[in-house]
Amino acid sequence: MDSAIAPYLFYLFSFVVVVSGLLVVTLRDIFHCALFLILCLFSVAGIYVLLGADFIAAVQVLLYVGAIAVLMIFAIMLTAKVSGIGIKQQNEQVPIAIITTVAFVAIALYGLGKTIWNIKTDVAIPDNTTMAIGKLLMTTYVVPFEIVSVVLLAALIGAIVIARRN
Amino acid sequence: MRLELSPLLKIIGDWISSLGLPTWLVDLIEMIGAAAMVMGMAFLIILFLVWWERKLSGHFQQRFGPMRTGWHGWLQTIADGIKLFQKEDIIPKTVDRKVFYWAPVICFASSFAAFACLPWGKNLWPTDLNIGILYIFAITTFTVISLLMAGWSSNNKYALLGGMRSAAQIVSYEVPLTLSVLGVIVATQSLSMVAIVGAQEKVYNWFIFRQPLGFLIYLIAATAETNRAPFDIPEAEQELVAGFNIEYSGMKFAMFFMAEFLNLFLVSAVAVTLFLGGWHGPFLPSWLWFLLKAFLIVFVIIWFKWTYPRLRVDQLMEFCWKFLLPLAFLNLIVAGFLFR
Amino acid sequence: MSFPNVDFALLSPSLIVCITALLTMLLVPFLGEKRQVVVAHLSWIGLSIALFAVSQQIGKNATTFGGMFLGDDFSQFFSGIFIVAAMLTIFTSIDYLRRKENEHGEYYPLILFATYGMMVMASSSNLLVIFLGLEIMSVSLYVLAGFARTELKSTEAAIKYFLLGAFATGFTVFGIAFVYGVTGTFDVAGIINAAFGQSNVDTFLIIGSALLLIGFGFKVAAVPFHMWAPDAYEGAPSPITGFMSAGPKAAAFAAMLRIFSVGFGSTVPHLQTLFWIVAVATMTVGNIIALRQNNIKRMLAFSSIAHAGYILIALVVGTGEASSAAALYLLAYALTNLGAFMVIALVDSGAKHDEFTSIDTYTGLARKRPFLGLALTLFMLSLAGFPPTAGFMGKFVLFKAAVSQGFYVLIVIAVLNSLVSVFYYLRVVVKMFMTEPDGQPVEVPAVPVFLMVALAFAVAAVLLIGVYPQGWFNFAGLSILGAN
Repeated sequence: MDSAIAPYLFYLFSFVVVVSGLLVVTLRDIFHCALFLILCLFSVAGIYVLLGADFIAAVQVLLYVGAIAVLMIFAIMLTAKVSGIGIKQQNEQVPIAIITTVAFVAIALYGLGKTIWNIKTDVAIPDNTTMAIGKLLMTTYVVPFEIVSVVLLAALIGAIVIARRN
Repeated sequence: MRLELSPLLKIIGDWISSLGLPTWLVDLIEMIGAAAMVMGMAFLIILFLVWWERKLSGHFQQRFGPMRTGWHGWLQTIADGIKLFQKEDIIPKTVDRKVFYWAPVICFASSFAAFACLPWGKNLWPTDLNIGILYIFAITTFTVISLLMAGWSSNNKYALLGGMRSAAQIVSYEVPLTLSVLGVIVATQSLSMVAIVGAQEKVYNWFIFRQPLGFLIYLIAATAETNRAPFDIPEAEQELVAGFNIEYSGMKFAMFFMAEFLNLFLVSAVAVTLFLGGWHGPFLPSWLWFLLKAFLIVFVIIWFKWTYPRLRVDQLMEFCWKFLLPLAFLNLIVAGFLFR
Repeated sequence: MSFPNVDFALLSPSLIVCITALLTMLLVPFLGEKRQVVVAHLSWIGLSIALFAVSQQIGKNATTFGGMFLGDDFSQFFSGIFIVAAMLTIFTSIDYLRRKENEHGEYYPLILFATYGMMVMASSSNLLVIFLGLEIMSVSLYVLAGFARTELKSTEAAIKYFLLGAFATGFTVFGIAFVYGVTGTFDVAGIINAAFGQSNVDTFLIIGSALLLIGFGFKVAAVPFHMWAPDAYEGAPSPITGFMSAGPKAAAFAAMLRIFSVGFGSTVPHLQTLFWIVAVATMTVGNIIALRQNNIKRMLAFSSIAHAGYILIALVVGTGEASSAAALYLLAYALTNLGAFMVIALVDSGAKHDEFTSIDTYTGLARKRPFLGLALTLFMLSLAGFPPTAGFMGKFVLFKAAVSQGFYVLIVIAVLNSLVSVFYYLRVVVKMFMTEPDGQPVEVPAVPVFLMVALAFAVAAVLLIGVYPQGWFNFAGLSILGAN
């Protein structure tokens, strides 16, 4: 995206990501949390589009919104006694969590200024990312690509074992 | 001389850019203009489809359907629309108001957003994305979310059951649906809708002939995706009264209703683009070919609805996972060998 | 586009395990409820073929798939540990599952998948591949830990293991992302090269390595990431507890040794100090809490935490010699612990539901069943590090590698810790030999054939490693590819 409004869109999406992410971990109605999680993931897809990664963006929406979020909502709907009850999202460990988070953010911000990220500026973003990704998955990254299928298979069998009758 | 629309749009576009406005404003005007045109088109299609379904269902059942408002009742939909606009918007006391409010909006918006990369005719598309077909599948997944939102927020057991059933169904059938079109994508080596249409210029190149199994799977899965009979378990009247939208009335109900017809047209239009050569055809203008073919598919899906009895939930799931899915994989493997 | 040149011989051990897993998995639904044991036999046969394949690859030291898959002696050694651990676990499980009336064939493919994941972890220096292997292993183990679904404790174990494990995964991925962001590569050698020449190492490389350390620290149950271990070990079915303490621990250490040990630790500052602190904390906390345990599985859980602390010494030292010593230590520890859990599983299977896992259950065991008592005694002595057992040889080699690099304080702490550990290991022995059971003694079932074989193998191996390691183990160091 090289449109003039792209930077503004980036800030818009980032804002939505942060705000909806915060709402996910603070709201008391678990169903609302799930919905804001969807919004959060969708906005991340928007950022992918701005970065020129259109295939990743579509897959992000397809998988996270279409599959994972739906699964979460299903789990909420099938769980007794979570509907309409305000679930407490905090416990007595909040101070420790805040200290840890602040410390991590501080270190990260300190590092951000000093770190030289390995950004390859000489490589042009391919016009058709789908084909580029496909070629990489079938050549350089064929080992991880194949192993992922075993991960999924093991998870599938595991889920069936846990869910079986008796 | 065919009556093409694209030259006309080009003249308008040139005129806007000659006004000397800043580029971002021109971009914005063109975007909004395109969206407005598609929106108008969508409403016309909905008006027509509602009437058409009622007439068709009437005739399938050996009756006339609406006859009184206008010639063969063609104004009936408009009358119904006016009625829905005027209706009191009832929001039950126990609903989750915000979610209840947003559900129909998201439902309509997600169906409508998918229209953005449909190639309506020769040089006539709002936008041509590299990932066109993937975009359509991705953005329409929000429909599931909206149905779940409606079912949950209504605080009604029928609505909840309906929402869950439809979500389970759509999520399941999305798998064979997506796999069935992969054969076409393998052949064209592109996800772009325009490129896929471009690969089907000659009639014998239409993918319905090169991928008949894929087309069949697509048609069945698409019927299930739109929650229509024989896959209308989510709103099975005898069991759930009306399904996820039971608590909705007035304009909110109308939005769900419209989204349903938008979806119906969308899956048909995608079928036309992927399998029936898109806007290619002799004599008639390209956009008319596109619409005619799409309505043909719509006709077939409506025909299904009034012919087949409803499936049971377990039959529905077994059919999807144990029959359609392996078949879709088989189709993909065959396509892999065919289009090497 | 050409198909990459693949060295299938190099892949053969892990491929055989994976294919066995797939075949047995497909077989499970076609076997009747009574014949699920067939799956177990097919599984160990497949594993023994894989073990043979491993033995054929020793000394090859080659890579395939553009360096993504390594076949050096280090990976073959660890593959051997995993396969043997899986086989012994299967032998232990056959009778255990029957007695617990929990014979479901899926159990064995899951063990095989976990083994495959571990082999992948040990055979790559690519962070992406290591992570995927870790996931295969973890996912299978979450399910195996909760395999006794009717037992509340088993479910509890699975949930705790899963939640904390998934959390740890988050750290690992976060760490990998940071490291990749700074160096632009997933390959360990590439990362070291990118970080090497620079005068000041990037902060995010340090953060990323620390996050990786946290993620792997969870998997090896290093303090302060050890909280899940006692509950998961206690609740999981006894053979699986043995497997968890042997296989995954070795796999996580194999990956850690590959990533952190050679080159990385000295390139990234502060990492060595961090390892020093974690190692000392882990061994001390593990040993001290183990003193107070009355459940033998919980006790061995804390003991396994303590042993993780000893092995972390190899990461502090960071030489090739230390890595090889850690490999030997892990082999010794795996065999010893698996042997101990064979006896525990046998005693445990005496009851269908209530688990006989209290240390009091073992009161007077050696008087009624002298051979079982002797075997367990041998394993306890090996865990404590008495000569002439495998445990002693492991500790000796590892401590020697550390002393040769001048880590005297660390070794003094480690030796003191070993002394403390003697107390709780010998407590079991004392119970078995020197106390009379008050009331009805626990009925321990007769030793079934397969368990007998496994037990004999474990005893022999523990003694062999303890007495005669120089015959087959290269003390100068295993060859490790992908590090410089």
